[in-house]
Amino acid sequence: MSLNIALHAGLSGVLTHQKQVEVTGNNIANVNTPGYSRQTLSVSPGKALNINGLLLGQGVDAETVNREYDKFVSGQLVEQGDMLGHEEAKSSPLAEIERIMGIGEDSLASEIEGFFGAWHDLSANPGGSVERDQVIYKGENLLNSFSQLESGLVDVRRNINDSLNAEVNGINLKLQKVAELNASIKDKQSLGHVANRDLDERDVVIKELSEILGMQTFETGQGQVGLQLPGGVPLVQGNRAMEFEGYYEGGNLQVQIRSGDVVLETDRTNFGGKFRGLMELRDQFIPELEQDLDDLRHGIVTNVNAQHEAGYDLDGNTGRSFFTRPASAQSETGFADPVALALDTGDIEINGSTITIDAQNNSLYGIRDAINDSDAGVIASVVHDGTDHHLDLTPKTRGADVESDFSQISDFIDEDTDGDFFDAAGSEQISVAIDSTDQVAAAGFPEGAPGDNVNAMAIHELNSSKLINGDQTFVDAYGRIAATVGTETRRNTMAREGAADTMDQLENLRESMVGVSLEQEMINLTLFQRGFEASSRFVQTIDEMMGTLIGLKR
Amino acid sequence: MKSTLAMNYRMLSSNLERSSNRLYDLRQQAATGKQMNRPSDNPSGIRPVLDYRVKTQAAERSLNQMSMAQGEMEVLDSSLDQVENILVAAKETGIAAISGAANEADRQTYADKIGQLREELLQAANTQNGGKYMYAGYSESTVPFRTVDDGTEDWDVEYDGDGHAKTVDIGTGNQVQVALPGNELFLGDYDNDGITDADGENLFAALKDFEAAIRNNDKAAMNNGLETLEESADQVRRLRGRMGNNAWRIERASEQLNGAAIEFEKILSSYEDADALEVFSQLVQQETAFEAALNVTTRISKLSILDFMR
Repeated sequence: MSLNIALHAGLSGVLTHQKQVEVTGNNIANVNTPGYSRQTLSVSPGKALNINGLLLGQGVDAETVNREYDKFVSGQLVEQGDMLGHEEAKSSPLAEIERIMGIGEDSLASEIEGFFGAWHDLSANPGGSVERDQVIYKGENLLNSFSQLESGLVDVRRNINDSLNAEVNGINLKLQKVAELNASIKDKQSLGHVANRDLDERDVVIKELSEILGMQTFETGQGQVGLQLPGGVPLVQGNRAMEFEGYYEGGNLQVQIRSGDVVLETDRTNFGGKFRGLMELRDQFIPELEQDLDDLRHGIVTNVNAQHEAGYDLDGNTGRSFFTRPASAQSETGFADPVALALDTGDIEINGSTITIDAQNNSLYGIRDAINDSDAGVIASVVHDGTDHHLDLTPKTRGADVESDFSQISDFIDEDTDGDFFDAAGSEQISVAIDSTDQVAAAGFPEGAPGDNVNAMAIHELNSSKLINGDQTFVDAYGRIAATVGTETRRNTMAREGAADTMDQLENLRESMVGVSLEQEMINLTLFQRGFEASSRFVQTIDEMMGTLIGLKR
Repeated sequence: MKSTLAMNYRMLSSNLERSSNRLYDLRQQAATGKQMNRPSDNPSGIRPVLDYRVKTQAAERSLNQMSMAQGEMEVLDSSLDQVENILVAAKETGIAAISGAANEADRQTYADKIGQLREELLQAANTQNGGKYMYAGYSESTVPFRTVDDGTEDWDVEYDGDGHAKTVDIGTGNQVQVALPGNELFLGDYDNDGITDADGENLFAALKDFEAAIRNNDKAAMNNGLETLEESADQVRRLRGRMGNNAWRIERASEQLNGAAIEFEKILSSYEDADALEVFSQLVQQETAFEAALNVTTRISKLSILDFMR
């Protein structure tokens, strides 16, 4: 009987080597499949039979096809995917913002310089209609440049919303896929199979999800994996996946996560990866830039207006704004003579600052200058409504409140009015308010003589005064904005390159542990082929031996 | 641990990508000649670059304005020369009239001559330069001196200009006067209240009085008049000297600003401009590295275990 047993042993060798060759062939076929883990056939010696006191091995048993797997590296890949997705998502919007916030010869800084340069030129020839025209034209140019920057940033935000929106469907498919794979792996394992393909595929999907959303994984038994956002919101549990829903609120795409009837609102802090990166730009970085630009424009508009209102045009008119006025507080009481030292003396309080008016400065102009010398956070100017002069207080920050107490200066209290300052509605869209060259207030003396350049000089000098936050000129302020963009872009480039490097190294590490090496497989192929050949030869030998035995009978 | 083909190709492709990005940057620097093309190229350099660019542009404008002002002051100086000459001529005429050799007919001729000089002075006072009245203060489109008929054949003048003098900015905050208002020069009325100041001379009045003195052969008045004329000429010379001094200040400021503008350009260039030599040598270096990386790529693809298993 032992020859029969030997024949079986030979057969197991032939079959096992054939399986080995098949597994090797499969490895070679998948050499370029992303996420593929090299598979090996685990084999063990066949059970030994006790034959007449001799323990004889019964060939070889092929047990299971295993995949090589390193849990640590796989976990690292998911984590690094979060980082890489985060920085990569930021890079193209930042490149666009960088293009908008240029520093070349045609940047906003040059437009600011051009506008104040026009006032400088006007001061050389204050009566010239060409120079006056240039001031208006350059003012319009300056405002246009601001609008262009703003609409550029709005475009970037819209593109970010579009790319977020485009991801939502893909995310749902991927979450669904993970849930399905979880179910399939559980089924296969319960039947005693190893679901190598499903495991590999799930790893790939989770890594992709991590780049988009940032992902935390945890094993829940029976080969299943749970997924949750970095903030702890569960996305996949067993074979159930939550659903992402995008909706627009205030022009921005927001995401809510739905599981049956339970709906969870999210913001950028819930996410990692691409979503976090894009939402940080959209909700934090870009709004800050917009605010800074807005503050800069507000600073230019209010300071130029205040100085322009103090000057005289060619017809001797004063109190005219150069740009349309932002929201401000204006005195209800008007005064015919802004120079007369005829008002009450006493203390004025504005935004908590006390300004003392004495017999030296108890005129409308005196009060204006005293307020401007204080740190009340407003720019005071005297505007002319056609008949009377009114005191105007424009907050240095657009839209800020102006709390004022003029109770000690009784002149501001009129029988017809409640004595208070009223909120003058400002114009949302800032434009150049004057429409003829004669209205440019270049003169500093009431005659408005054509050769009077005093106010043009004063407006030109605003450009070299530190009027933004008290420590920056207008051009400085733009430089600071551009530097913020430059620094962030630079940081992003370095972080992105670093993350990509780390990712490459991790991929290589994974590859070196579980990847397919053609050399290794080819050598194994030869090995298994020889094993197959030897096993076949063994079967042939046994066959010959059996033939010899049968021949004995003849 | 093993090294697989995929690892090698991944390594190669990321190196090639990095190398070609660096090449792109260097080529851009070489093509534009600038090392700051985007804010991220040198964030800390943005403020100085913008600052010096603005300073350079402002300096150019200031230089233009100063050279215009210098031109105006030359015109002003020749006009002042003319005014001074009128006064000198009047004085000479006066000396001739005062001398004993002059008879009544001569004196009338001399008096007529003074009258003509006064007409000349009026013309000089209403001189225009580039369509603007030079001695009208800010009111450059107003004829500054208007004759007033006082009932006699002679006229008086009244000043319609204002007391302001045009200035030019010769550097932040420093203003230099480049024009003379007519009330100072011709009327000696520094506060422009319509009355000649105690230490000033009214040139028109001086000539008018002197003409009358000659006509009336009033020796004492003629002597007085000569003195007044001398003081008037002094007034012109003093103001002319002041304007000459101002012209010198503008000249100096202009030289300084020119030097500063060159300095600004240098600083700007040190931030902004690429060092051509360095960029090209780096470019060559990077191209060599890129070529080497490409070479390795082809070598890897040539080497295969399959070639050795036959």
